[in-house]
This record gives sequence, structure tokens and C-alpha cells, in this order.
Amino acid sequence: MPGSLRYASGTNEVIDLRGSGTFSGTNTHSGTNTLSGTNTLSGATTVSGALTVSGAYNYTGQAITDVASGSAIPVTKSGIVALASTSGAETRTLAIPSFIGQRIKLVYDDDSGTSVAVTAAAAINVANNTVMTFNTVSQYCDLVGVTVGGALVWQIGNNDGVTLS
Amino acid sequence: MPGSLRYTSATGERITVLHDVTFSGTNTHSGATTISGTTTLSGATTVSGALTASGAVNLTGLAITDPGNVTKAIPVTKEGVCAMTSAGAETRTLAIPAHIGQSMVLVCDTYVGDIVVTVAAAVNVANNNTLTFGVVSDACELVGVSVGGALVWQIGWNDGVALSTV
Repeated sequence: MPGSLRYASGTNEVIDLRGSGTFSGTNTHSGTNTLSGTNTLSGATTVSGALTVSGAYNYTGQAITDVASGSAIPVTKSGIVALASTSGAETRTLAIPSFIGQRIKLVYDDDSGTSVAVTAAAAINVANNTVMTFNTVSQYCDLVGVTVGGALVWQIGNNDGVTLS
Repeated sequence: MPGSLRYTSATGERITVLHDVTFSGTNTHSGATTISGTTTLSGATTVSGALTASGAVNLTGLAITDPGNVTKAIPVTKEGVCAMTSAGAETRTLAIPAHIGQSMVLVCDTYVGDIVVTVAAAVNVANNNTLTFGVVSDACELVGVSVGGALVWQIGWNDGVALSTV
């Protein structure tokens, strides 16, 4: 069948690819996987099983593009948002995380305006703060997806100068 | 050969698969591997070579089940987030990390009584080894580091967790 290669294995069967491999279609690895060569994942990758990386790990796809004032910061992946204000007091919103353990780091990259206030969909700490206001370049905080009362919320971790309210 | 599919390449030879791939058995890729399509790794995966991920990577298996007040020991076999639930005054233990750089986020998800977590070694310069979660949403992150050549947890950020030495 053109465009399809299927090998239905028996119990305990092993597929062993010794040469260099390029997989450019949609890939699903649901068994136990060992990648021992130099590995590059350039597509969207979801790892739902245990992942052990003992070699160097470089996640170079972490940039999350900043959005315009009044818009929602994407929460579809872990990453870093370089917030840039262009005029006056700006705002952003941040929906609940997509999954436990998700990380989003916010840094104030450009203060051409006066400030950026990011409003989270739920409280981000014990003090029940929901708003993070950046008004000086280099202010930074990171957020991690956790559950509180059984519901997914952001928990603020490190905070360098960001005003919480 | 029944029960096995094996392709051993010659020097410089490459395996190129242009269409969808499903590996549901045990898979070993010992050559250079490039995966440029949308990829889902749902089995246990070990990457012993260098790994560069330039697309979005979502690790959705980071939840660590709370062991509760009977089992007590929080698993340290992987990094992740342990959302702890108490039904009264409870305790947990936390062994040394499994590897340098391991991250462990602890959060009080449901509070009825204090949850006291005793760590196997000091978590900071003050030599604290006890973490007490006294209200819902108390949270902290620990990172696996080496101190004096020994693997220990270092506390990073801390939102409301009381630290003490016992």
C-alpha cells in the first residue's frame, strides 16, 4: 500500500533501527523507547510516559510570542514570554494551565509603555493574588501548573520584582 | 525472521520514513534520529544521547500521586508535581533526589490538617529538613543538587511552607 508501512509484531518483539533515522510523518511511540544516538525533535512533541534524558538536553523551542494589550498569552506549551509594552499601561490575560507541571516564565523585555498587568484566571499563591504587574525592565517571575482543591491553577514560583495584587 | 524486525544499515546509510509511523513495541534507535513530524511518546522513553527539541514539547506525565499518610514516602523516581491532600495532621517523607537537576514541586491541594514532610537531608543553608504545609496552596519547589559531593534537595522558591529542623 503506497505511503504505508506496517509491521504487526508478536509478543516481546523488538524493532531495532541501527542506522540514522528520519521520521517526518506523524509518529507515535507507545512502547518502551530508547534513543541512544544524537536526537532531534523538531515537530510538536508530547511525552506522556516517563522520559529519562541522560545526555545533553536542549529545548530550543521555548519562546512564546508576546501578544497585544488586552489579549491572552497562549498556554498551549511550556515556555518563556518576553513581555513588551509599546504604549501606556497594557494588560494581558493568562488562562489556566494546560497540564500539571507546565511552566511559563514571564520577563519584562521592553518598557516602551509604562507597565504590563497580567491577570491570571485564578489565584497564583496563598495570598490569593491574581494580577502580576511589570513596570521595570528585567522583572521576572515563573509559574508552574499545579492543582489546588483539585483544580488546575498557576502557582507562582520565583519572583524578581513583579508586583502582585 | 519471526518475532523480530531488524535493519542494520551500512556506513552512511539512512532510514527515512516519510509517512506516519507507529512503534508500539520496544524500540531502539541507536543511530542519529531526527523526528520532524508531530510526535507522541507514550511509553517509557530513555534518551541517552544528546536531545535537541526545537518544537513545542509538552511533558504531560509530571503528576506524582500523593502517597498519603499510610505509605508516606513521596516517590522520587521522576520529577514532577505532587499535590498533597490531608484528612488531618499527616506526615510524608522525601528521600534524596534521583539525579542532579531533578525538580519536585510540592503543593497542598486540600487542607484539613498540617502535612509535615521530612526530607532525608537539609534543604538549605540553615540546615532545615522539615517542610510543614499549614494551609491550602502552600507550595515550594526543590531541585536536586550536589552538596559535599552528595545528592540533596535544595529548596528554590517557597510560598508559605514553614521550614524547620527536626
